[in-house]
Amino acid sequence: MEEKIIAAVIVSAVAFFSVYALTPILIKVLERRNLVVQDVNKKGSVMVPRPGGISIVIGIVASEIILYLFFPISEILAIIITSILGFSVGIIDDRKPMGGWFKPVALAFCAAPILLLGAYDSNLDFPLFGSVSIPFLYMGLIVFMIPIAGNTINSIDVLNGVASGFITIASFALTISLIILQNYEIAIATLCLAFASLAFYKYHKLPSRIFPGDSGALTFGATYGVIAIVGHVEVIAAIAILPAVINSFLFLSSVKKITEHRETKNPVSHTDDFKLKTSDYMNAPITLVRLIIAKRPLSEKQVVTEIFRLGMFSGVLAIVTAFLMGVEV
Amino acid sequence: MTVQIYGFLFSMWILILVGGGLMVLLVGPISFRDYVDIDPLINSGAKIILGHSNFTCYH
Repeated sequence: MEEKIIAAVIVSAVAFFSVYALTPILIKVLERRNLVVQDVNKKGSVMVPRPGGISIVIGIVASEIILYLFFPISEILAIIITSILGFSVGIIDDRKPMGGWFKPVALAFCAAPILLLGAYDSNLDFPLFGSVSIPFLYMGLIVFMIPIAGNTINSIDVLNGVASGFITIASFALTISLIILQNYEIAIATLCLAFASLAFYKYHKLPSRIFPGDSGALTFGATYGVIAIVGHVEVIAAIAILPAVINSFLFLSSVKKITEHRETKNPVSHTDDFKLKTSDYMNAPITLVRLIIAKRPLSEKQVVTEIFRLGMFSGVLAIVTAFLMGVEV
Repeated sequence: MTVQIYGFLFSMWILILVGGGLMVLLVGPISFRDYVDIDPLINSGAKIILGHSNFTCYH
């Protein structure tokens, strides 16, 4: 147990401080190369460097490699490779925006290391009722899980600090759940994601000094997805990001096709004092943000706070689910 | 509206628990391996089809 605590402290520190130290350097490099985009929710023409995925993936991968030295298990190796592949898909999309189908299809291939390394268990666990063995369906679930997790986190990355803050909350909830389930190695692996996203949040929070871009959001999503599979906590992980899942579901069901956010009407517009209000476009997609501001316009900070509260609520539900995993009716 | 979103999240959570329970109780016990020597993957695929047809019937 002592070795696990030492590993947890070391990898958490590496994940946090590598992202914390690298991101300001990345901001300067991106500004120098004029790799900036407009923050559409700010008055005037506020330009923000993008993408910040490089510092995120370095933080996650460096800490996971150190963890692999402590515990050389195939599950951690699968996390490392899938995170790198998820980042690669994102950086391609950051460099040259691809069609709506590119990311889901490319991310499906990112699941290959999990299958090749055999870092999964084909029993799907449910709280209260036990588990069901579905090897065929489970292989399909693995292929779908990474694109779903990646695009879910990517689709919620619409306001300053939301993606990094939300994944921080979900990751800590997942860590606690894994500790409850006594899956300590993967709990420590989840800490790497939690602390890397927490460090990035320092620069991503309102007002953003950097945006994660597709590379950052997909790295977060792919890492979260692979942890859910190798940690054998698929249901708990889905519950922890339920607001983001609902956001994706609302978006897809209203647009009725797989498409990029930039290809659709903006679901949000601004009042004179630059608060967020629902867009007047009848065919604009329905999103979580649009639901939150449906009753009255809110400032960006108020909407972000509300999303975090929803994230914490889901996190608590995920932890309760972890407790229920040990109970059978 | 925010209270309704919390309610929606809670309902989704309950549905996940109940849906998972139904899957474990209805689809889990089905196995053809007791009767014929069948590959686990095919057995699992048959379970998916049965599970899906059950789901469709209930709707």
